[in-house]
Amino acid sequence: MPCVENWKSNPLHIVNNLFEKRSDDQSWKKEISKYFSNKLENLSTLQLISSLNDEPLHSIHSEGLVRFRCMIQDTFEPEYFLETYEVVDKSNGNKTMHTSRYRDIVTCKEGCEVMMESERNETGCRQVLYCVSIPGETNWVKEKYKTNCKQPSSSYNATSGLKRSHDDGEEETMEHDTEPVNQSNDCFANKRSRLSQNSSNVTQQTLTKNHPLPDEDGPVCIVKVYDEATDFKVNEIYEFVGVLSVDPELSSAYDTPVAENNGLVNGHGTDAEQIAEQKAHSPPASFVPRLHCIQMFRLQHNNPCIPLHQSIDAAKQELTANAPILRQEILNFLKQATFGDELTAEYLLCHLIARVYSRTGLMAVGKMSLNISGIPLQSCYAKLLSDLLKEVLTKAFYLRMSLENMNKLHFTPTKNYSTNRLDSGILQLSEGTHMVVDESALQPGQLDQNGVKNIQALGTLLTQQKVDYNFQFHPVVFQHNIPILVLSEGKSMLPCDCQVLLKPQIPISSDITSYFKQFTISEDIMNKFRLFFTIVKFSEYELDESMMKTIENDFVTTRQANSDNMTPEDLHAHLVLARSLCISWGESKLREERWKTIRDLENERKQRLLH
Amino acid sequence: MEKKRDYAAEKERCKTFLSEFCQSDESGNGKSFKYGQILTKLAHREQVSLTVDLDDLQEFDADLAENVVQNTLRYQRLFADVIEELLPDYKEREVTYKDALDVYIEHRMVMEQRNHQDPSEQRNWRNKYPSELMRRFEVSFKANSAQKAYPIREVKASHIGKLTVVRGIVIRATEVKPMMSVATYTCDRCGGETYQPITSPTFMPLEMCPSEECQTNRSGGRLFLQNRGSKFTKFQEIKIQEHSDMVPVGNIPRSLTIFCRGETTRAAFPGDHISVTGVFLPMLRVGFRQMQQGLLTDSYMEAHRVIKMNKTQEDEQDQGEMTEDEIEQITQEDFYDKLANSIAPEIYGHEDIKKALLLLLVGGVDRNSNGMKIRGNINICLMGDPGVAKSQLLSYIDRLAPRSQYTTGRGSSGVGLTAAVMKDQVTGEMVLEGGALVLADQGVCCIDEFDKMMDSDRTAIHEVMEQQTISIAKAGIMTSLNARVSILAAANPAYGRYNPKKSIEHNIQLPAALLSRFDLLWLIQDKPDRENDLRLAQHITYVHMNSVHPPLQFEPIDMRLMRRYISLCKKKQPVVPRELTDYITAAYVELRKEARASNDATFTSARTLLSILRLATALARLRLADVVEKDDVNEAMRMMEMSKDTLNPAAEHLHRQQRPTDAIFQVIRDMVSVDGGSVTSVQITDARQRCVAKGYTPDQFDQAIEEYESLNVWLLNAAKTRLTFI
Repeated sequence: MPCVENWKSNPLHIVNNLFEKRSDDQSWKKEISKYFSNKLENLSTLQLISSLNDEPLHSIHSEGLVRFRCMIQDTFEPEYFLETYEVVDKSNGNKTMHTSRYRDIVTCKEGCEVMMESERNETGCRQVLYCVSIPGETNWVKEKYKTNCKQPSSSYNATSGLKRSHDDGEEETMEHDTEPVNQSNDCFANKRSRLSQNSSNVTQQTLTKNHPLPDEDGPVCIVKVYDEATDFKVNEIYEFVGVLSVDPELSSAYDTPVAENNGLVNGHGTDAEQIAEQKAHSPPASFVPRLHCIQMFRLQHNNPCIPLHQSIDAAKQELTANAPILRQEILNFLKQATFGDELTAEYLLCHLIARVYSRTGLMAVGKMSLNISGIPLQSCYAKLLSDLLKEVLTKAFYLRMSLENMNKLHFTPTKNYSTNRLDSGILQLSEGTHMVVDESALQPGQLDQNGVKNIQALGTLLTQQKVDYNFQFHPVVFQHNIPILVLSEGKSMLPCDCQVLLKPQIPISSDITSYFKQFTISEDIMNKFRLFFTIVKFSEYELDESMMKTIENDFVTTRQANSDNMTPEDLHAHLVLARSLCISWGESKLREERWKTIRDLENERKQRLLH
Repeated sequence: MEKKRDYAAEKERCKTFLSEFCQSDESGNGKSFKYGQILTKLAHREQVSLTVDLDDLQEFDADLAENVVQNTLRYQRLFADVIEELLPDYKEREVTYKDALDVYIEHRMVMEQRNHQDPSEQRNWRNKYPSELMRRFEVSFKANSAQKAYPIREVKASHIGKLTVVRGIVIRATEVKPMMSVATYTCDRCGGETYQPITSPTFMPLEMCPSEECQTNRSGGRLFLQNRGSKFTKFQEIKIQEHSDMVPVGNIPRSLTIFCRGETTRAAFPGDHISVTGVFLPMLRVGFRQMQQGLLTDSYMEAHRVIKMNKTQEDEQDQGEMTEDEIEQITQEDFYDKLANSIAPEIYGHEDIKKALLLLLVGGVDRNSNGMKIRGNINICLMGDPGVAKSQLLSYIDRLAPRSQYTTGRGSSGVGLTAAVMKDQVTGEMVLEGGALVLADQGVCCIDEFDKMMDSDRTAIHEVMEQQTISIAKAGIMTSLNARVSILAAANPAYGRYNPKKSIEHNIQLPAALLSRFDLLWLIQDKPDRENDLRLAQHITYVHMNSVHPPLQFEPIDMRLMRRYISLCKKKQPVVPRELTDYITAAYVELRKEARASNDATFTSARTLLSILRLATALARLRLADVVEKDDVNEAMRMMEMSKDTLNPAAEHLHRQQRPTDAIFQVIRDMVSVDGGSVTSVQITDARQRCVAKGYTPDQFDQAIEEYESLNVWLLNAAKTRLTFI
């Protein structure tokens, strides 16, 4: 009977059992997912499962259950496979049915043979997703998830110790040993060790993990989902739970091109492009493991302070009660970073909790990209500010907009048809990843073609919150939701929704690095801040009829005086600002006082820009 | 499949279909045996492929048609067998051999007959050879025309083995290669031939001779592959990707591999939009890799029919001709406004611009009654302050027009707008590659940021806009390409905002020669206006409150319906009747005079006259009329007038102060003085037309008549037909 250890370390055993016990052709699949969803219902059991994010691959038990918190970077073509297949035992002619669900490698006992043409075989289909660890995930998030995970890497030792001892240092032998013993396939043994040696040599030079952001090196994984109904979109974030598969044989496609097949190749199959495609789609398993998904959770956020199963609403209520106090604290915190400038801090706060909450036609409603100009000339200010924000945000990315970066980096993801996959670019970020663009790093110089394209892409992202992924024959529009903060000395060259001139109220010390180091906030309060920034975004908010009338009249009268005072774009910005401001106070309705505050804020901002 | 089908019976049904299916002749007398004729051609080697149209089969034997769709491969084989049997009956004369394989086949038949003359042997001599080897024809199916094309992502495991139609854009096409379908070997000992039919992409060559002679003698004869005796088919592998508008938001476009054999090869090139009828099939990987990959199967589609298409065909294909009802639905009373408003319904206002765009889509007549070719395409330039929805209008037109290209003045491709001479990488030959203007031939070319265009392209555009061709004299290639396009351009003013004090050339730095080639120039300005502002504010707050655009006042006409209506309009060739020519001439003379008198920022030249004619014919087309009417001309002139008004903000300012009634009085007085002063009366109808042409509404006109009559300036006769000045 399956005990706790068993379903975690050897889920395939359970799958097989349930398959054996099946009563008809369809229900066993449901049984399996029901079994596991029952097991995983409890948060504490879920946390018992080792996570690819927290543990190095070689310490995780192959064919055991693992978790992976990730962003879908690319979706491959669906895979067709024999879901159930008939095996005939040559010695006595017995025929048995097996399933290949949740596994890559099919093994059969000595003297048995799979009957390819059997009528009882069933073809199934699974979706294949290429997932990368969430780009821009900040360090505290990773740390916290790791500490939340109750059982550190000991899980592996415990289970495999039952079988036989092994040498932890050698990855290759490990992969051999953890193979279930009863399935002997010695004929491949020699070949396999050769292959895994090969693959580890090749890996480092020719493969990239395809992370959107240049300096990241988190785990990546190919996730196979057996649910045809779910529509997976790229850039969504998920937590997958499933069977890990790192069998080195998987990489054989990578090492053995098609031509090595016995026999002559007829007509097709030898194209260089096809080999490239095959290589890209089956990278060595030690580098990109496979995960056969059993359960998945679509994530709205990646804040570890909120448990996976708990909805945002529960946490929200608690927070809104004392929002005004918390808001003041946060404002003070941000004010330190803006050298006591309250207006800028106010805008920064609003910017941080703005998000695109709806789209109509070409317009993304709710975006509020902010340009803080007039930042201190010491170039490290932008970096310091971004580091500070990274302490409270769950996903953030600092882009040094230097000429070199603009010319060299790839911003828009590009479809590579020879490998048939989407080569990532740094704009491929999941929803709500904050981007801090440091324009002060830009020096006069020559932008090359790539640079111009990059700036254009950044501009479109700023104005429409979309990125045209380059599919060569035609661009494909992907909608994004990436708040962007641009820091510059003068007015930014990028089209931001709103520009604030920084006016330091306290003298800026010559050593701002140490100035920034001063702000120490207790972990407890910090966690509250973090919750605030994650949750407040999703607050409900409405405008009522009477308020609408007031705003409309306000708009018309202002324009009567001078049409330049308020353009339609300004009105949009006002309304977005109003939303952010209200929800930051924990209010769900716009009141007249707040509208007035907004007008004042805007006027003050515009006044500043004039001088 | 619940029960085993009796395939022998099925075969019989196929046979009946092929030999008995007939359609009554177009002329009505006699019947034509469609497939019988094809079979005759096949027998004489005049045709290679036989396509079974499932529409025909449906009509003949609906059950069989359904079976074909469900299990296409099996029925393909059945049909092939049937044809094989039928062919000799259709052979009317001996056929001359065309190639080596024919000779081989002949030899083999003769050989076989000779070897097996033993009468005790009952079997058919053909049986020994794999039937594929002897066949020189291909069988394919054409899907039911009612069958919908699936987006690639909808093709799932349930479609395996069935006849399916998919659409997509070709992203990769391999070279056409020979693929062995039957390998022939000869034995070095006994000399006997051995055949091996090949169905999988890889095969294991035979090595030992299986013939009786070698087997009994144990001579161990080795087999050698005979290229000349083997049968090869053309093979091409193409990959298609989903069309961008079939991809749900946020998804990566899917792709599908398609295997083309025989006649379906070379039907498409990368970049083509194609529709493929084929069978979706799994392909098991062979050899030991199968096990490693968890019995993975690659999937592909075996093509039966590959058709290239463009956007129009795609739509027409599944909808056919417009029905009476649909035409009626469109041609209601205010259809002109309604059609115009259905262009970019989410953009508020700009009715006249939308009307102009509608006319651009319809286009004028491109040859006059004498058969002389003139330009019928209407060119429009939208200018305006940044952020006044110019680009949105452009991209909407790009989507609406059946054939269109969207580009910016600084198009990123090296080919640019016109055409480039490129060196073919493989052959080293020089080839012409068309730019946006050439690609949009007989369509619309939307050029955004027209003002930022490269000078070289701009010169080429002069020619395109009037002569509708592009002449190339580059790298030894001298040719001229058709570019019968309507150009829809959008330009930003040079100084960021339009400066009403300067002329147009200064405002958008484009030469007058180019500007005059536009039939209509619109200036869209962002001006404060209380009513507009309020509506704008309401719109914006509504969007923020409800997260959707406010509901429209009217139901916009569906884009597809519109596209079809426009293509219907384009079939009309209205003519300008003789009696209207005088009217148009007079109006033109008037325009010229006015232009000279006022310090106009625009140009009035002979081109203006042509523009009026074009617009008028386009309007007549829109009504589905065959003759241009006076109203069309008036509306055309009103459009010209309106477009000019936007360009002369000063003039407009003047108009504002002057009440419409006063202006109308002015117009009518001018009419009188033109006639020489002696006559002091005008026809009401003439006056009305003149005023409407100048952009006043009939209501305003009536009001003016009434008002000035009460002032005793003029008198209206009792019949209300004549106006006399006092």
